[in-house]
Amino acid sequence: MSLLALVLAYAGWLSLCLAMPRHQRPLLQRELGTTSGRLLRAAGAALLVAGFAAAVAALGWQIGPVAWIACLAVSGIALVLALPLAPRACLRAAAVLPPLALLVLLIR
Amino acid sequence: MKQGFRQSMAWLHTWGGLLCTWLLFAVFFAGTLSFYREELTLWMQPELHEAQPGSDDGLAAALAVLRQRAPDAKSWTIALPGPRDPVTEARWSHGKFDRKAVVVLDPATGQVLEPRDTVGGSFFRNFHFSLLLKRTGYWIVGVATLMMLVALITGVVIHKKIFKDFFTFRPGKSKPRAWLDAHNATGVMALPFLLTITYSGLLTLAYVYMPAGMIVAGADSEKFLGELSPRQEAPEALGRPATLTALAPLLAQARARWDGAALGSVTIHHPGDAAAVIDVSRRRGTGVTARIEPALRFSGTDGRLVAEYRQDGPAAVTYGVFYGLHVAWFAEPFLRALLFGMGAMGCLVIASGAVVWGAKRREQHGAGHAALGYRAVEALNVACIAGMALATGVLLWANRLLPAALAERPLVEKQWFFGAWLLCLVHALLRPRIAAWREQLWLAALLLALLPLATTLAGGLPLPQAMLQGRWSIAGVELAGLGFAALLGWAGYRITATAAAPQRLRRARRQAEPAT
Repeated sequence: MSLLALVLAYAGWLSLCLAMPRHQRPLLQRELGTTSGRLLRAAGAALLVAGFAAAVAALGWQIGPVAWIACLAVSGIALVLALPLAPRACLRAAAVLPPLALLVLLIR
Repeated sequence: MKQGFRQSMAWLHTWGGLLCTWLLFAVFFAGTLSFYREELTLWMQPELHEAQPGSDDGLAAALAVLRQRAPDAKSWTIALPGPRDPVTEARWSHGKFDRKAVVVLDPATGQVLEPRDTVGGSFFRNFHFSLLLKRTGYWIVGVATLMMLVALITGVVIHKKIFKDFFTFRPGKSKPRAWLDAHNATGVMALPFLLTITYSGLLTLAYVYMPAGMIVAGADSEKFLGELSPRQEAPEALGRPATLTALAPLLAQARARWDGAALGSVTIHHPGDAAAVIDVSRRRGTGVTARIEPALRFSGTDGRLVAEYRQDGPAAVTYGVFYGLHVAWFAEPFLRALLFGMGAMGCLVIASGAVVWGAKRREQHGAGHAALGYRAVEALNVACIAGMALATGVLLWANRLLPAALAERPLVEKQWFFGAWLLCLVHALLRPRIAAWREQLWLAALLLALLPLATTLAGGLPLPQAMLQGRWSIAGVELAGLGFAALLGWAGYRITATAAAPQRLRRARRQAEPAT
């Protein structure tokens, strides 16, 4: 399901963002160690790849990759523009949306 | 000219970008709306809103109309309804000059519908690639597209901290900085889309821009496009009458052959003749490729499968993939919305670039700086960005309010659009910068927000009913209008607020967010 790909991409971008020291203080009010940073970066990359898998599973090899790139761009831009305006909401969304999308997927 | 590589690239990005920015914005804006061409056309023909996409494809009704109105036509074509297009169309060509005729039918009832003549969503598509200037327009858009490609590549070169600034957007900083952040962040995030859409856009008209290969092969663009399509010429008529075989079984056979894919159209060559053949083509957008949809040919007398046309040539498939990526006929509603969003981001990248140019110069020279060149740039920014949205609102209103039976209706609609646009330019030249932005943005917001009112006044499926009936392709236009109205209204408010009290606002925001 491509909605899942979108929220996975969003969560992935946010993890990558949190892995960067310059974004940690404004978002988390503290700085993380290098290990946590590395873990977040790995998690971010894994989430983006999972988004790719979700897109391909939903739409096939022809259209899936196109949809994945669309998901990356739209979720990324939404995140960048929303982060300074509503940082807490951005964090909450990343925690809530992927399980919600999974749930929607299961119910269908 | 003792400059570093990066500086010369920055120069090229700034001035090359500025020179093409208004044209590129218009092209991106119209192209983005073209993702919803069919929905816009449907919205602009309220007479078709009654037609419900249902179980029936209207084949029998269309055939009856063709038998009655065009018994002697060389060929009949029936365009089947689809998820984005609820009506069935019966088309034929007649007379010495092959004049085209079309009758639109409600597939559920078989009733003939009389939609108003309108530019439809195709207006934006045609403006997008030709500026409505035919071949001259292809070239102007082509040069601008090439500049877009140059701007994308130089933009990557001059962006010193692509990864470090990947998630950076500081709306609280000084104006040029905040806009540059927005320009960079959206540009980088949308880069794969922007590169793909720009490059594939160039390729769609490659046979116009670089026709050498075609000319060497002894072809013109008509022949080139003809050979691209896998369909073949019809055989000669025999002049012996024969009854046409039933169509429904052939359609079922075609669907089965393409794994249940939807069908696009049925063409019957020499109906009523013993040499009749029936071509059934797959609906476009089943895969990424476009323009090379396969077709099946059946005998018109006994329904035998005569031939299967596929286009497997590597050149044709390459063209089909790039064309397909550009027009995105494959996109289902969710993906279409994402692509529309990315097109809007493309508009934002271009618009923010133009704003950065102005904001930087204002910062260097002070707000009172009023050289003619700067004034002209500012006015063009307003007229091309806010004015384009306003002119679109005017076009949609004109579509509803002009009498349905008006002669030359599409032309009058176009005149309203371009007239409004021109007025926006005059207005932007006459008014102070901030006032011009605010007034045009708010007027555009008002026009778009009140679109449901236009429907109530002048016909069409009202928004609440469209939503209740799940007719999202009709409701979507007015809902999007409401959404954009909110966005434009907010933008107009922000421009006024930040200009009125920049210091106060900035200080307040700096206190609100912890230092970075």
